[in-house]
Amino acid sequence: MLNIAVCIKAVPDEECYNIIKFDPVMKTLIREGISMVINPSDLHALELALCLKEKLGGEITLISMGPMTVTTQLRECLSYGADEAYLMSDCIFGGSDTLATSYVLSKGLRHIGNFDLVLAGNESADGATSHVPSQLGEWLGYPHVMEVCALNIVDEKIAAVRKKADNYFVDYTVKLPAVFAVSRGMNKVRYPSIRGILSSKGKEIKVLTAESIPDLDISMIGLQGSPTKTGQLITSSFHRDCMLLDGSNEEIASAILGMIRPVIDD
Amino acid sequence: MEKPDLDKIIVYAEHKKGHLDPSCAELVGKAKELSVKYDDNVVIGAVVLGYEISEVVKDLSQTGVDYIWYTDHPKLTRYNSEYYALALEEAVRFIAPELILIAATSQGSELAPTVGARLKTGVAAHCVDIVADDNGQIVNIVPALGGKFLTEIKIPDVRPMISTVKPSVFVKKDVPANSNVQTVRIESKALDSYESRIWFVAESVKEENEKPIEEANVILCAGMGIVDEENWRKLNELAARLKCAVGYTRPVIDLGVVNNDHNMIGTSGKTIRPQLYVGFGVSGASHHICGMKDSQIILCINSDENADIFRLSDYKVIADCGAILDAMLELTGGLNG
Ligand SMILES: Cc1cc2nc3c(=O)[nH]c(=O)nc-3n(C[C@H](O)[C@H](O)[C@H](O)COP(=O)(O)OP(=O)(O)OC[C@H]3O[C@@H](n4cnc5c(N)ncnc54)[C@H](O)[C@@H]3O)c2cc1C
Repeated sequence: MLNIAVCIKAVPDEECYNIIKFDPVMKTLIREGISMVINPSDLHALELALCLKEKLGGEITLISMGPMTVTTQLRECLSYGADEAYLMSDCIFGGSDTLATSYVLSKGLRHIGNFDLVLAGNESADGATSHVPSQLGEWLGYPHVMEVCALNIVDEKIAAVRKKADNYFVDYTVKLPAVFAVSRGMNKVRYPSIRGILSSKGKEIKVLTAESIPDLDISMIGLQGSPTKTGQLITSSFHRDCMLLDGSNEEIASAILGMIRPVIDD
Repeated sequence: MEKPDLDKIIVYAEHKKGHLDPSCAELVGKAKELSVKYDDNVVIGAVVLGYEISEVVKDLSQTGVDYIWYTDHPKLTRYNSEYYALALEEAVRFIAPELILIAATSQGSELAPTVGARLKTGVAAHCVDIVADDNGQIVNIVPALGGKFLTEIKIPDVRPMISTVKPSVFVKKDVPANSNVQTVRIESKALDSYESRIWFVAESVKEENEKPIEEANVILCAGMGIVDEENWRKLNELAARLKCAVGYTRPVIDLGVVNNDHNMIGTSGKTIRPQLYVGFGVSGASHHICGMKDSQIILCINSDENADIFRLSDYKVIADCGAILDAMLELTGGLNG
């Protein structure tokens, strides 16, 4: 029986990235019409949890920090087959950077129970710092491994993992409990079953506020607990004057080859 | 307003099999550039960890750094995130720098947030630039929302500040070696007594003859517009004939035509700046653009005349990229060569 926690983040839908507009006066994002989705990498972490549960038995607990709207994404995750979901939501969590976020999540996890495995997606689609898994491991005092692309439970105390490291792979055994950041390549994400969808509707999503956690150090959270201060958004204006290459396919091919040949490596 | 102190910048010097990672020179170059803004009164140091690393330390002394701090310990024989984080944390506490630059390699991407958490300080991830503003504050420019926007990150109140930079994002500069480099060995007490909970088992051998895509002059990049395996094969045949490299966008990996993602270009892959980038059916998503926007010449083939990638291209071809591939193969030895 494994106790598995999966960290979930709601992010703006990738499909909307190219329509996200930026208010040049307010220097903020115009979020209207931008739908939120489950961070794609997190689904791979959830998929791993589901596979492990099927094989070895156990319980899957979801945890997310974010506004109350994230109940939508958590409910969706429940429909895949997770057992429980916690949303850490409080306005004083707002403005947390990765250090503060991982602190809040670690406190939440400690409060909820004891886990053998804490899984997260390797990166979020929006911030994409890939900091939270390692930092969560540090706050929890657990070993942590990024970019895990294969994982097996050896026995109750040990996991065998394969980590993608630049251009090669490294295999490790890791003492549990531990935090693993799951990379997209690990698995194919299933579709939720009708039964899963129906049963998720009735499940309660438990909300944890700052007050729910007695030993939460307020100075470590939100804006004041975040060493990094994010400034204004700058539109990255990549633009080049573009010339059309026209003609028959042969003419075009020959023009392209004419550009390639002088600069190819010797 | 008085300038905030910036006395020491250190670069985490990664190395493998006795060779310094090229990122090291890129980061030292940036540290030098920053030090000019502080009237050159900045010590630029490097921290290097490993076992029996005297050769690496020697190579490091040629990179233009003023100081080298190193920890030489059997537990550092190969990278282990726990031992390395412990040694790096120990070194940083000893050196007390204001700024730490770490390459966002696989290793650096683990170490930076880990050490950041231990020191309870901030980490700016994947900086595309690091500058000093008029007040002498370090400003990190980082991609936001998959590179669609950029944003500034400052770490005003906590030291050290940590910045990570993806390999090849900064261009290597020729920094003259300091003839008077100070080398300091750090004796690690913490390592002696710590036993890691992560054990190395095995490592896959890297394909040695694979030339890094970052070094290629011409890159043919496959996007989803190549549609199928047949065109992928053609693109590779063409690249082999012309001796250029092949890169790809992320969804191409899901086509199942490549068995690794070494040459994926973009925020989660490689940053390239070849002399010529030729895109075959690439749409121009921000995640991809981030990794190729600094190519000298960008030429793209796309059947959609409104494709975003054309806004960033020097030359556009509005056509089916399979047909252009065929025509290029014809002109380079025939379709079946
Ligand atoms: C967290 C995160 C990280 C990511 N990191 C990366 C990354 O590092 N690198 C990366 O590349 N992507 C990355 N992505 C994915 C990225 O968002 C885009 O989905 C991807 O770059 C699009 O690839 P594409 O241009 O090949 O495909 P598409 O967007 O599907 O575009 C295909 C293009 O081909 C054209 N086309 C179709 N048929 C033809 C034809 N016959 N002839 C010519 N043209 C044709 C179409 O008009 C279209 O413009 C990431 C996504 C996320 C969420």
